[in-house]
Amino acid sequence: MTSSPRPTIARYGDLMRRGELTSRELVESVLDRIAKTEPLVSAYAFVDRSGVRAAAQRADDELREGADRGPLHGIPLAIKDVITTKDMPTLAGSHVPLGTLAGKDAKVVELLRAAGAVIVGKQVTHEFACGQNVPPTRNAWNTACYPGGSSAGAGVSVALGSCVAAVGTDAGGSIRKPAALNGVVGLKPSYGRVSRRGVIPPSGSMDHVGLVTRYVADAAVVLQAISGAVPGDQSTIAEPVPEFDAFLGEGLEGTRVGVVYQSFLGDDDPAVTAATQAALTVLRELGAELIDVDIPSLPLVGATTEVILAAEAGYSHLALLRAHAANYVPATRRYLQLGALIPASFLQAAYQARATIGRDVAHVFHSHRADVLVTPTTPLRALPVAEMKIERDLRRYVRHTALANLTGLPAITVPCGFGDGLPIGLQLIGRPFREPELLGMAAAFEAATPWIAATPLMSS
Amino acid sequence: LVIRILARVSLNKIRAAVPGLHNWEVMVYNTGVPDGPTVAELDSIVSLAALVSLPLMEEDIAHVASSMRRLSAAAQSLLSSSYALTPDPTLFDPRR
Repeated sequence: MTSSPRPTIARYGDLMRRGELTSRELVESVLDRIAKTEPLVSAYAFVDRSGVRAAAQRADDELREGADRGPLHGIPLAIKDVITTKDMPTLAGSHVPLGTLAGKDAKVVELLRAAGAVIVGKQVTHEFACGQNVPPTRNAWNTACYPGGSSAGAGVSVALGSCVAAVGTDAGGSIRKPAALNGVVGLKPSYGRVSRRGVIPPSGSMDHVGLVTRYVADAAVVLQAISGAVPGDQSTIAEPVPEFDAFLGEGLEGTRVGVVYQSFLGDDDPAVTAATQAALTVLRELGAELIDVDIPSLPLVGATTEVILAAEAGYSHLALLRAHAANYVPATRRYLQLGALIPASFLQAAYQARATIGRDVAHVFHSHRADVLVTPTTPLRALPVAEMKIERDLRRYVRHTALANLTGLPAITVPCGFGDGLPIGLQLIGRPFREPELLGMAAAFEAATPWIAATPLMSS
Repeated sequence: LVIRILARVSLNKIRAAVPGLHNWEVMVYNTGVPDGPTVAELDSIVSLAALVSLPLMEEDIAHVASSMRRLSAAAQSLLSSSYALTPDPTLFDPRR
C-alpha cells in the first residue's frame, strides 16, 4: 500500500476555482487511471470518454464565465449500471433487454448533472443488483479477491481513483460491502432521502440510492446534491434536507455509541473482530461512551431479509421473466423465479418480523439514548473468488448490513483496519434522517485513524 | 424413476409450465441437484408457477424447488417466532 492521500472534493473545487486545475485535467487523470487499472479490475461496464471530456469542457467554460454550480462542479463521478442515463447504455449487468425501462436520466443523475458533476461512465453490478452472480470486477487490493457487491465497480474504482466518487444502490448492503472490502467510505442514507426514480429495482422496500466516496466529507457533498423529496415520487419522503456537513469537524465527546454485542457472537473473521474491537477503543478514546445493546429480534434479520428481498425482486421482474427468461444469468433467474413464487404467508411473516425488528431498534436508540449503533460492516474480508461458495458466501456478507435496510436507517462504513493487506470496515447506523450527525461521527473516527490514507499500490 | 414421478406429478402441469417437454426429461428434475427436491416439492413449484403464469425453464425447476425448501425453513422460523406473530398496528396506520 502507499500513503499519498488524494484530495477531497472540496480541495479539487478550491484548485479549480483558483485556476490551478481544470475539470478537463481532472477528467484526463481519471481516464488515465481507468486505462491503467481496468484491464486488472473491470470496474466499469461503460466509459463515456468523449462525453465526459465534453462535459468537463462545458464545466470549465461555465466556471470561467462565472456560472458556478457548487461543490460538485466539474467533479468526475460514476454511476452504477442499474441507474438509468440518457446518454449511456444501462444494462444492469444483464443481457435482458430493458426497452423503455432505460433511456432517460434517473432522478439522481438529473440532480448530479444539475449540480455540475460530470459522468465518467457506468459501473459494474451483479446482474440487476441481485447478488446472485460474481461479476468480472476484482478487488482493488488483491485482484484474486471478491470486490463486494452489488455496487462492485463503485467500491473498486473509488479505491483506485478511477473516479472521484460513485453513486450506487443498496438493498442489503450493496454499497457498504464493496466500500468496506475496498477500504473506502460507503453511505446508505435513510429510506426516502434520495429518489429511486429511474433505478432498475431489485427490491421495492429495501433498496436505497447511496454513494461511495474516498472521504466522509465527500459523502456529505454528494448526498447534499442528490437528497430531497420529489413530488409524486413514492420512493422519497417529505423530510427537510439539512446541511449534511453540519457536524463535520466536531468531536465525539459525550456521544453515546450502542455496540450491538450480538454482532460479535457469530463466526466472523477474527481479523474483522480484532479491527472492530480496536475501532471501539478509538471511539472511547475520542470521548464516546460505549454501551452494550441487545436487539432481541436480531436473529430474525437474516430470514426476514431473505424473504422480503427475494419476494419483492421476483415480483418486480415478473414481466421480464415471462418475456426474456433465457436472457438472465441462470442463478439470477432462479432467484427471481423463487421470489415470484414465495407464498403470501411467508412474506407476511417477514413483514411482521420486520416491524418487530424496527420497534426493537427504535427501543434500543430510545432506552439507551444512543446516537449511533456500531457493528462490523462485513463479517469477512474479501475472499479469493476461486475459493468462494457463491450461495453460502454472498449471503454471509450481508449479515451486519441488512438491519439498516430493513429499518430504513442511515448507515455508513468507514475503513477501520487491514488483515493480511485486505481492508476492513466499521459500520455506524444512525437515527432516522440524522445523516449529519452520522457523518460527523464517522468523520471524527476517520480523522483519528490512519486507514483512509492507505491506497492500493495499483492506484499509485 | 420416470414412472414413479409420473405417478405422482401431474405431467399436464409440468407441460403447461415447460412447453415441449418430453416424458423422459421429467427424470432430469430429480437428478443432478445435490440434495435434490422431492416429487412433492417439484409438484408444488410447477403448480405455483402455473398459477402466476410464470413459465419455468426446465433446467431451473429442480433448483427453484431446492431453494424454496431452504427459504421455507427460514420462513418457518419467522412463522414460529413469537415476535412475528405479534400483529403490528402501525402497518395499518393510515397516516403512514
